[in-house]
Amino acid sequence: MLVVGIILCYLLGLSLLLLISRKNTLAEMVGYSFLLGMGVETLLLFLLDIINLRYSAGLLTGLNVFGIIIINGLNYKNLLALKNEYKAPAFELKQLNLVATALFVFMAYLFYGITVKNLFWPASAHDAIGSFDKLGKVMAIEGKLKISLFDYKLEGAGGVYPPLFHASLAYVYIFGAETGKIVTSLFFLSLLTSFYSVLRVYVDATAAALFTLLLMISPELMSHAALSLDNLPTTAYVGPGALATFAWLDKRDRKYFWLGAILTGFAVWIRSDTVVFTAAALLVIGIDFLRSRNLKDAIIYAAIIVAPFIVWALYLKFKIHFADAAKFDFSIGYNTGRMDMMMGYISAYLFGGHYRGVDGGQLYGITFILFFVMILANLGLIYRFGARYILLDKMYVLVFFFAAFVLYFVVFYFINEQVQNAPLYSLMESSFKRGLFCFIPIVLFYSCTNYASSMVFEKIEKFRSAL
Amino acid sequence: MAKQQQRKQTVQSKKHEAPKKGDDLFTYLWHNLAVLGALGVVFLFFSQKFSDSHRMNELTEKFYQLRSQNPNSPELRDLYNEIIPLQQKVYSDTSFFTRITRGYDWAVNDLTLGNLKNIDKVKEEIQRNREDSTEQSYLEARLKRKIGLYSLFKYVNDNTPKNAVILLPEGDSAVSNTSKWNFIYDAEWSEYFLYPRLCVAIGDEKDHPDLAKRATHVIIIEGKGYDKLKYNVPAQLRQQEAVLPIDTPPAWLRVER
Repeated sequence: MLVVGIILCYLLGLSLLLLISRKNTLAEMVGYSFLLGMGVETLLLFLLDIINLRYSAGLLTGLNVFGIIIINGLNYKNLLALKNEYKAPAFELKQLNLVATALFVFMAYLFYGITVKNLFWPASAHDAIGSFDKLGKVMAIEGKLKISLFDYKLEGAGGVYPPLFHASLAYVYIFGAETGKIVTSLFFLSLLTSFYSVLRVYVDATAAALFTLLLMISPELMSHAALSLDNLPTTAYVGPGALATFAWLDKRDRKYFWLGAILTGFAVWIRSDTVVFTAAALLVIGIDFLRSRNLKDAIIYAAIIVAPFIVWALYLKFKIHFADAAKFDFSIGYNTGRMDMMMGYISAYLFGGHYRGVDGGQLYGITFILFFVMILANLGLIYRFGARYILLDKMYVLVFFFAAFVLYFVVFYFINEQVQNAPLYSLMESSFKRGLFCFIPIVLFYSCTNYASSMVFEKIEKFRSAL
Repeated sequence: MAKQQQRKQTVQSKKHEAPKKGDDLFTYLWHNLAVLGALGVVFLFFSQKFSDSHRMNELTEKFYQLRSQNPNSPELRDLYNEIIPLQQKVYSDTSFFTRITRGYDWAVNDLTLGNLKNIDKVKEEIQRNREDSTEQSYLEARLKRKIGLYSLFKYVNDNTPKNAVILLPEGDSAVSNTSKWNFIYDAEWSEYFLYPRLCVAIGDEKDHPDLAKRATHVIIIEGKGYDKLKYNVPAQLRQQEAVLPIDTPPAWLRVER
């Protein structure tokens, strides 16, 4: 039964993807189908809760089949065209990129390894047991989003988080899963394949595979591929959402406009603190509006990415009756001790340093260091190619990264430790550290596709393809 | 004239047919293998760089395994002598390059591939103990190995009705602060195992007054929690770990009386 549920989720997502565009690569179909499908499934569970319909595998199967038929029915002209355009792939040894193939095989083996670990051990992380997995399990049993545990304040910290992650756990439990951790593996797979697919728009398969491997083995991120926590799934929405937005701004392929908007919208449907990425996305879309004067697109994009945040805030207020305590303490003002502590942690995480027992290099490896090195390398190229040319290259990525990071910093700087029930150092060593996952796909995307890297990869590719 | 034209055409067609560099399959493969070789060298470099660390981990695991089987084994001294220099070598390497690459080695070799070996060992053990006779027992076998308290929660669930409200032990100031008790004093955490029963920790009654009033059972840990009962349990009958109804003594206690 679980297999049926997962296939339905993929088919629903694939139907939506084909509705957005009929031209998709295999990596896009694997990556985006699950992200779109699971996002919609959780919206469905939310709506069923609103209209007081109890969840069941039968009801969800029926709704999925109905949804898939309707979407494909609306899209039948595109599907017919797709059928006519389809060509059986011809294999030629000379088209085989041996380097990329070797990297894929290695990644597949690593994915197998981490998935075996993930599926073998039941959920055991404190937050998974105290919150996410519990919410998912009880949602599946009680058949609603607002479970009875809310009445006794036993829902756990994740109870006030938007429902995408725990509702995705509920979805697989409804279809009879033994543990909900299968969704972690599927989110991880989707993150990797969608990341690869956007990189392929810019660079050759070798470079794309190499950077996908770097994303995959980012130590702290990879460790979460065997846990039932929401940080990796959040990255699976923030990363591909941001990258699709960049691809839209660069290439003007309509497909990326919709993917960027929908996935960034789902990012605040999984965690509300990702609103810093919503703000960064609004900033780059705003800049683009000033250049392109396309008000309609800007409004549609903004509406899609902001709506889930508002919907969840209303649900918390009117259905959960959540008393929103002051999450921020702006009376802190400028506090040297606080600032020094945060800067200490940040420099450890970003530049591979040590701070209060934290070894940043062990957690993120070369990820952020490479990003800053590439910025410097590009600045060095200004002399050769001119400032305008170099500065405009991937400008949106840099604006997005720095805007989101500054906001992210501000959120933690002003966070109310009493409401969070944790001191700042503890928040920096857990929440802040894990929140950095969302920046990894963005910085690796920049490191791979910037002007300096592209020049190097072009030369390697020219040699590899013997041209 | 015609011959000249023919020759020119032949030359032109030969020029046209002349293989480009990339058209040569051998060249293509050779260049691919060269790039692959370069990647392989990088891979080997890292593999070599962290080989001492892998060897140290392997020997340390062997050391503890041997010590648990036979603490007086003469082999322990040899292993110890081999581990110490390795340890000094590994821990003294604090270069920036090592620091920013060690995480990748950990992710690939320990987190992913190393765990495959560990899982195989656990599977063998579960099979040996015949804990995998049903899907449920197999799941429980893995839960027991991951959550130290799982057996206690199972015992509580087997001995309380589904509508019970259970008092959990007070925070780790009251019971030994060891990993044995995981987060038993954390009601949100324990609820995962006790649902549909409800729970509240001793000391947190103010935050959950409704639940505290409705409490029906208490979990006894390290012999603590008997003061919450409305009846007396003779000292000789007091167990270190138990779950007892708060209002009325359990049947076994009534029989003893």
